[in-house]
Amino acid sequence: MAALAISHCVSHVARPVSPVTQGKPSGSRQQPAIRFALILRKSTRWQWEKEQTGLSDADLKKHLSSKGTKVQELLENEKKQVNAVQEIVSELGKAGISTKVVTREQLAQYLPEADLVISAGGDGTFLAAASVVNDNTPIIGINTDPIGSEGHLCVGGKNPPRDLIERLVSGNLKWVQRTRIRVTVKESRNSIFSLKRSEKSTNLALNEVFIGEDEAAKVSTYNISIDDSQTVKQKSSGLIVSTGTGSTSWYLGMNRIDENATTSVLEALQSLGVDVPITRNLVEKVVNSVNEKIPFEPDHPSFAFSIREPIFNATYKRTATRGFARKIKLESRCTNGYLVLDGSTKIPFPRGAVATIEVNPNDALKTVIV
Amino acid sequence: MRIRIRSQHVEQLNQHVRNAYLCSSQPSVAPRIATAAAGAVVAPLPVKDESSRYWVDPTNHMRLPRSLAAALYQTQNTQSKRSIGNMEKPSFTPKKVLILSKLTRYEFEKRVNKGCSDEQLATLLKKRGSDYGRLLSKHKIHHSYLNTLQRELENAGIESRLVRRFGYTQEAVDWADAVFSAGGDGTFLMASSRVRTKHKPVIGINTDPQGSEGYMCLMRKLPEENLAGALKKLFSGNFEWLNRQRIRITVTGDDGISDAIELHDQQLNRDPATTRWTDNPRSPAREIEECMSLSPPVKKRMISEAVEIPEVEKETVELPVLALNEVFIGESLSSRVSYYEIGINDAQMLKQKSSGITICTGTGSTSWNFNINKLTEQCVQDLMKIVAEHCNLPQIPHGDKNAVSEICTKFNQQLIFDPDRKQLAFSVRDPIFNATFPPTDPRGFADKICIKSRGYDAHLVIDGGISYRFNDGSEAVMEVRDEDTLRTVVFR
Repeated sequence: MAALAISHCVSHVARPVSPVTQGKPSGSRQQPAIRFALILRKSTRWQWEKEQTGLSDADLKKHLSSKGTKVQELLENEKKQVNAVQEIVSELGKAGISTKVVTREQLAQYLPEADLVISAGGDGTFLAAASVVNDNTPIIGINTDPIGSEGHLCVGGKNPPRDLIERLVSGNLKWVQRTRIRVTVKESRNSIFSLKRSEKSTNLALNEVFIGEDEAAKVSTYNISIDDSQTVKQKSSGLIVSTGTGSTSWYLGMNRIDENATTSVLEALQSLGVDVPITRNLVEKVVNSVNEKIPFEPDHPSFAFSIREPIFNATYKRTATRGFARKIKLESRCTNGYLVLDGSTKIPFPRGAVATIEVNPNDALKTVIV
Repeated sequence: MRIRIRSQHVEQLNQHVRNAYLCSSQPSVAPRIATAAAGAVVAPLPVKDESSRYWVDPTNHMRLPRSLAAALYQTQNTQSKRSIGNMEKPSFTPKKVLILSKLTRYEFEKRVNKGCSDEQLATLLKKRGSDYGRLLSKHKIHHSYLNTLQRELENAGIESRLVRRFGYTQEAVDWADAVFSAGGDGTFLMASSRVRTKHKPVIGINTDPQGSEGYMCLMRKLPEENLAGALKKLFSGNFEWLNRQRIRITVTGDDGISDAIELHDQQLNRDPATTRWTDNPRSPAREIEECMSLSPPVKKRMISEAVEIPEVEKETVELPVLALNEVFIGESLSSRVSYYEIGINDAQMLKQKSSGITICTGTGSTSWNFNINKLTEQCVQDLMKIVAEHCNLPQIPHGDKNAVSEICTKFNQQLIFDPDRKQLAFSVRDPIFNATFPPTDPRGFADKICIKSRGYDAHLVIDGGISYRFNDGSEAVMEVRDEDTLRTVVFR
């Protein structure tokens, strides 16, 4: 079953929100010719097992069977993916575009000469491709695994349009620049855990960045400054910084209001003497209205931050728990802190390290909407 | 108010409040953004603001917004609830008392860095960004309070023994008529973890009122000077018993139950502040051994059939630890999604996808559960605005800060329930609903909760400190029983 796909798929996948402000139609401009396209194929369970074990096909079948795995399912899924990639290659070939099919490890190597990157898989494959692209190379996601993936980041979701390549060649596509979050970490020069002092590293996130303790049940402690405001000490279950692209995922789940909470607030209003009618219909409308406002457009120039389960009491002062910002600076007071980008890239965030999180228009990812 | 503050204390409180705010006036509701608050009372350079030493009631200037403070520090209406209990005056006259003292960070660092002089320790801590002077200061505060406690117990004619974490054994507990914890809420949790009978009281003394909330402690955040009076009230019967419910956990799994993992030691944790409740690190070998030997698990063998899979023998084990605050079930890593099935009150199991689920008692309802579910005034205001639009009711006072604050207070207060309430509250963190995972109530009460794991690297964490692996196929049942309650005291 495709659902048994590799466990290191991204944990949170976002559904794109149509941009409120439509960019200039790129049809009015001449797109640079696409001569060479890279195709990143999905990492299937079969491929993953082969890499892990290094066994031949025949031996791997025996090995998996003895473990109780349904080998036939894995093989069928693998074949399906291979066929899907072949179809894409064929379509591009007809249009005079040369292609190369690569794995995740090979992508960075061939990227400089590519005019286009196509992810053939689900949202996880798309994110893997996006994480390597640092310039304006466009990325198109084609969902070759509609059963196992929603394909929110892919063109057409579960149903890619048949004429996608045709429209690509003729320039009949709309592009959107998806804002990305730039993360820079500087380790404390006092840190005894790091051999390299003042080491800097920079990464880009398309969906969100989580900052906090690695361990889910632990409280995270850090000093935070939002848009160069006063730095304050904070305790919470971690901080989420989200783009518009990621705002329909974890960020929404964290901030969404539910019907019970709404009903309770309405009851509190009634107890204040406000004659508000509490009906199921009204509660539903209010909940939907509130929750619809939470996601924002992928090309929004700011990111949203949300402090997870903040601990405010007489000891720890209060700050805004949610809002928009362009820059957040964090100093770690964590025991085993990490920054996690798009649920897949982990950057250590030891005590004393300083992380700067910001958005820069040059970091945007060029993708297609239909 | 649980604790009556005499007039001299009111003056003291006002004095502290005035000092804290550098004599500047302060609005009754704290500003929503820290910048304004910091700007009002602190110089441009970032200076550590000394937090209030005492909780201040709403009539005074309040550092904590009323919508949160009113919920967290609400008074318990014991009169109407315990009329039977009031028929006879409670009596607490222990002859032998065991004191569990917090292991201060100073003591811990000295222990870890054996043979290290204070100067060397100061240098070492500085490299790590820690302040030696502050550690030593807190160490002295704790021991001053502890000495006062011992002296007062001696004055009352009570024999007391002092132990620290590593000396806190079952034998020591069995010797005593009651257990006093001297530390914060974490020390209280540890003290209670060894007391399985409902007849032996556990009394918390908060030795760091400035740095610790002391929700579960007798005097909350009152200072050392109040200890003598409090103990006098205690021994003369001027208090109420409070039987705190605890959660019993039964786990069924293919691979049996693995050893408990102390989360603090897992990564050589040295900073108690980063744990959710426990305020001291622990030695893995000794603690796990003693923990597991507290009460040998009750094992039942079940034969389970699965389609196309050979018969697998499953073990059902009652975990040897009762949860006083909460149980967390989910992936070990913060950034991973958790998959599980949940059944409430023996209802049908439903698939769920979230950042994990917490199941808490009334005692724990002021902690993680509260922080998961509380609403901010910003959120309530947005909600009121939308209600006004939908109902065409312009008189809804979403622009009135006091009204917003009051509604927020009412909501947040209902999240907290009595420690002796015989029910569990569950909270689903960051729920994800879609076609595969239909919407369910993310929060509610239950008598019994069953969770079946679908996790890759999931665990079950008790009171933020002890973790058990809880991977695919494992099942946990959580319930409360009268015989598992913890006897504590509160003042009228």
